[in-house]
Amino acid sequence: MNRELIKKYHAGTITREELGELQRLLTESEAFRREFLLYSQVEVTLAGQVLFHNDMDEAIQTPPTEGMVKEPKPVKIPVYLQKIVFAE
Amino acid sequence: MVWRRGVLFDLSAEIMEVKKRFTALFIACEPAVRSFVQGVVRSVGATEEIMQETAVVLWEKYADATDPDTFRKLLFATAKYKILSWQRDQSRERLLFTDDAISMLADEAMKTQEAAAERQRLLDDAVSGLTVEERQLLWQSFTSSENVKTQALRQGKTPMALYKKLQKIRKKVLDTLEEKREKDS
Repeated sequence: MNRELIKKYHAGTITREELGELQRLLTESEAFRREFLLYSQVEVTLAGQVLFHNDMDEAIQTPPTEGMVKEPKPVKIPVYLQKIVFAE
Repeated sequence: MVWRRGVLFDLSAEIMEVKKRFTALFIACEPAVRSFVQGVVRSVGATEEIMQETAVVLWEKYADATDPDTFRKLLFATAKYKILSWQRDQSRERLLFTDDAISMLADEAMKTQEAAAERQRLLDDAVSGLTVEERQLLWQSFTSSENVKTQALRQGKTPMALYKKLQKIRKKVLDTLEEKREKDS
């Protein structure tokens, strides 16, 4: 049930009453805060890999034009960090 | 290149070193910060925006936060304020967390930052071992508010077939995680 609340919050289907319950659990239980963060981490990982592969599929299906990167590879350093730190 | 006390210094090498240290510190904390931000704002786009704004602030204040502990505190505090600012811009109708709940989540994410970084490495490896179709199925079952029966009907499968497929994928991820953990220990 508690995990369902996290899932509903993430899916945007949570009601006001359920949000109240979710916040109560978050402020009262350290274990629940950890569970909430763990859920987000798995979601972030799956989202990153699914979205990355959707991009890959699109890149594979679209014929490469001159100057296009033909084989995109996963980037270890986040793009926004590269822009900020490594921008000249 | 500049002269310092009679010695010619290569400033670009020094700057590169500073950038490397900053990047290493940021990347070590990134999984925990990102989980915290995404957990609260629930949007990949908003999370990217907040992560970027947070990184800019950190980079600007880095001279005062080169020590890892100070850096970590500044990073989570900045992410928290960026979330609060994002929340203020949202419609009043949206169901959002209170400032207290966000602060407590930020503290928890900071406390468990090292474990989150380690977990991220294992998770990345385990999920990248799945096929594209398996990843899509897992992603749908993880994020969708529909039950397995509804998802199966939409995909033209029987609920039992989808259930078994998902069980198989989850087992594959778990086995990989166990294997990696055993190898590391």
